[in-house]
Amino acid sequence: MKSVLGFQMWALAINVWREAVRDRLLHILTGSGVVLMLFSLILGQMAVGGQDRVVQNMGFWILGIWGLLAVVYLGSNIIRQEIQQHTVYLVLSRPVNRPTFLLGKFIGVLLVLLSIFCLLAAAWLAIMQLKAIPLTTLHFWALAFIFGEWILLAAFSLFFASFTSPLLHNFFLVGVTFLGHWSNDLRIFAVNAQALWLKKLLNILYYILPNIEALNFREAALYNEAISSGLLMEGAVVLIGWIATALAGANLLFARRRLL
Amino acid sequence: MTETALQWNRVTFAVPHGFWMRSKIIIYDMDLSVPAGTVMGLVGPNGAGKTTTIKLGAGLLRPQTGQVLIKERLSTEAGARACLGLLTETQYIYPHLRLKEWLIMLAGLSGVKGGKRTRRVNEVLELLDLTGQANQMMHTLSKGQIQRAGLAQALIHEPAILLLDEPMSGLDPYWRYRVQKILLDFKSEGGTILFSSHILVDVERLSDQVALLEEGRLLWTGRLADLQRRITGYEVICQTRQPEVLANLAYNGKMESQPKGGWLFSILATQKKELLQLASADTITLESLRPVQEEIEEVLFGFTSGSTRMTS
Repeated sequence: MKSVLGFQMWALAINVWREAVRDRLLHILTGSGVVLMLFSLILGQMAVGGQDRVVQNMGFWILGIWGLLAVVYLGSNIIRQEIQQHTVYLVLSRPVNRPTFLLGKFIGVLLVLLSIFCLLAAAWLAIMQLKAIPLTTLHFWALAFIFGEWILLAAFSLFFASFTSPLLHNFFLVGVTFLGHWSNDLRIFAVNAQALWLKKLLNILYYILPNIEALNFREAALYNEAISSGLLMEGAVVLIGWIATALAGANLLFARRRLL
Repeated sequence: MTETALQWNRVTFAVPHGFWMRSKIIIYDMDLSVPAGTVMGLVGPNGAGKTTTIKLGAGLLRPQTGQVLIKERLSTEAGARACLGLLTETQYIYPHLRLKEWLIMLAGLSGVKGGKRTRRVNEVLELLDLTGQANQMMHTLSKGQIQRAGLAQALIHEPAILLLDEPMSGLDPYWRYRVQKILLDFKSEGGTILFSSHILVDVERLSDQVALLEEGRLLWTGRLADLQRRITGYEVICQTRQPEVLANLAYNGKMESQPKGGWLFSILATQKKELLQLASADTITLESLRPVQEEIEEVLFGFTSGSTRMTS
């Protein structure tokens, strides 16, 4: 039974990946990321000192933002297209249950994201090599957690796509990303807020939003600051916890969704 | 006792409607059974609930009340749908997939793996004359090819039950004939079919039983052959040396001359006696007298519009 479910998920995932790699918009997105990274070489020349830092900073920034863009594009269409174009009928009229369908789609999105990430990361690492910037394990931890953030966003995207329109999906996803990065600031604002209602609101936001900043090890890589295993563990727990929560929520909502 | 392949037990289905999302019932208390190894045609005007009935059967929709069973298992259970093949009215495709990739994926989702999957993909492509299009992107296929691809995916896992929503839609006369043959072969191998169609000739040719729906209600189920079809007139071929006597009988005075001095014309049912009198008086030599029955549409849709309720 388990092997059948795995086989079904893989069949769905490969289909998502095949469709995405033939999508010109994703080619353009990936290509533009690489071009921007190359542009960091020129920007570095203009910077007064710290050229290495510009290359590293811009690489991390592009990897972060391009993940959000890719997830917004893939995620806003993934469930909507299946339901609006009714392709879901031919899948769910087979012995495929809804969680399998959703997980298959999720794995497919992860495959696409992994392909894009590998290309962008490879381009960045090549530029780093070209500029003879020393690579440390910290850089690889930072990269791993950036991809972790992409996975987290993909899980949230699936959650939003399972009940909202593409526009609201994009709005919520961008909102979660930015507020998630400001999560620690929300806590500080809550402590400093005078009004009780504002204090409560900020605290609620702090607890209901994922602390995406806990996954951010870019600064540490940039300034070669050691990362404790505790922090890495905390990041991994935040990541796994929120991915599981978002996927469980998506399943719960999609199971109730009416396919007219 | 005949096994029941598909069963709708007192099924009611409603959709949210309007600004306030009020519940609007589109299937009312439906009781319908399709015995295994038979073909049932679903007929009815647009909006009668044919597609919804099929979607309920395929487990895509969950009824508000009642149950839909596939071989005595709830259609909403994934496992129950393993023996099911669904053809939707419009083919919903992934435009950036090749036809073969699409079929491989759908076969995989039905649990067909390895060598068997490759063999089945090739078999259905050949059956539906799509081998030449196997590596084409799906968005480049013609309407008829996509419709045939739809049937190919429904048959790929060798299902025991087919649910077909307007299977002849978009097909040319040659492929309508071929698809009818494929479906009759499927039935002769013990398969069960529930299909909807607006083309009653197809329904008549394929179905053992017909279910007539109107506005979400099942009005009648039974065999088309059991319907009382009124004789509205006769088509006559006769020989005569006095064709002017026929002019009074022929419907609208229209007569066609036939080879060897024969005449072909139609008469109303009420004029049969008069025609036979002419024949017994040797004024005409009757060569053929073929009854013209009321159109099946007239009989079947005579039940609709809330007039008569019948169950066989």
